[in-house]
Amino acid sequence: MAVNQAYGVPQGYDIFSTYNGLVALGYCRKYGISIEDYDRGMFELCRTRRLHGSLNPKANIQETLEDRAAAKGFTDAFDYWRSDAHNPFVAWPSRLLSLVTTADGASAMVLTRADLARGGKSQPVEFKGFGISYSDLPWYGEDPTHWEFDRRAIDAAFGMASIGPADIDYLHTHDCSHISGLCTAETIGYLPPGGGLDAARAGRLRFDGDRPMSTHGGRHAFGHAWGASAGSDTYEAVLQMRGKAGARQIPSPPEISVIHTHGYAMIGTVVVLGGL
Amino acid sequence: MQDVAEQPSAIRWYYEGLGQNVFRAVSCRSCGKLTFPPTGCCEHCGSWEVEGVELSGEATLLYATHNITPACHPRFETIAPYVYGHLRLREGPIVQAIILGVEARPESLRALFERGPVPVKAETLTMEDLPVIAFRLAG
Ligand SMILES: [Zn+2]
Repeated sequence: MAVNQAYGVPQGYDIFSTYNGLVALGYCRKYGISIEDYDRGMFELCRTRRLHGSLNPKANIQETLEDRAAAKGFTDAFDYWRSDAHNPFVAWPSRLLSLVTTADGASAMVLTRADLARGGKSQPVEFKGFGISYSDLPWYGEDPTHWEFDRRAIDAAFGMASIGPADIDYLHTHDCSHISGLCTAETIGYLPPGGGLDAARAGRLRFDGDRPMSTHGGRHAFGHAWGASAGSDTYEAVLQMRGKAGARQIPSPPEISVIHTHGYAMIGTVVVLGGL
Repeated sequence: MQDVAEQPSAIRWYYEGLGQNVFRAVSCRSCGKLTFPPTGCCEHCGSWEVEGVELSGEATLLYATHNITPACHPRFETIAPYVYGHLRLREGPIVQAIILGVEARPESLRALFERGPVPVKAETLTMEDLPVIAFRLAG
């Protein structure tokens, strides 16, 4: 891993601690959320992501969490979730099924001038804005839920596109850590601060909820092919905007989509897409 | 290459100190802030006018988690799974490092989380090939 060659990995850095466990603890303490409620919220978020994966023929995991639990002999999927044998704490209090699924893959996209895009075979979308910002370890200060470099990338992209959080119809945040992905959605203003877990439990993050996120299944169910993922996240947003996402189609196709991704070391990138 | 002068290395200087239980940062002459671990220029304002300082090693542990996956580097296989924490040094910088004095089990980590922030003290872990900074719970 290329994370801070001088001091990161040589001194014991590990992604699951930094990206999951410590962020989870910061989130719980900041918002007064119990470890039990955190666990339940993470279960519901995983359930949503795997539901989306089950509706996506290209997802690496197409089995719902409920089907997985039943296949392992559990009648209650939450009992399966809390089973240390099936779903251990990888970086307490974060469990294995809140994490990324590695995949091979490739993605590509075509960009052209707006006047050339009209009249093409596919409905074009407009690339309205972008922002990019970099950081070094430990990525956040005293508050593990606030990532300043993401804030800067978000502000740059939203400023260029002249949008605000209330304009977003579909959001993807980098979610190879489910809790980090929720924190980013809260930083963006798509979800209220400290409200991400409740939104997951209420089904609001589903494709048919009022705050749809990661409808391809996200890093956990769709899978993560590193450099190719930002392209597949964008592809999903474009499918949704065209109304061509099949069984997981957002009922009212989004007009404004925001795609946030992390690249290693750490880079935050935000892209805003809109109707042309 | 006789005409190439060796530049001072902040990284080598840090590890030489760590090997002797001395914890080093650089202080910025332009903005006054500390950069830890040390680099050649200030991480806050970009100034190259930095000078070495010694840290107390005293810190507050804010959060501690663990990791059950294979060690991130073979040098840690002898101590894995270990506890990894988010800390604030007495001098200000936020740091993440290995934590000693608490077991890498969910029950122990939960008890520690419920205590809230606790004082810790830096010490050097002497691994086979490299000194590593760690922080031990006081008491
Ligand atoms: Zn400075």
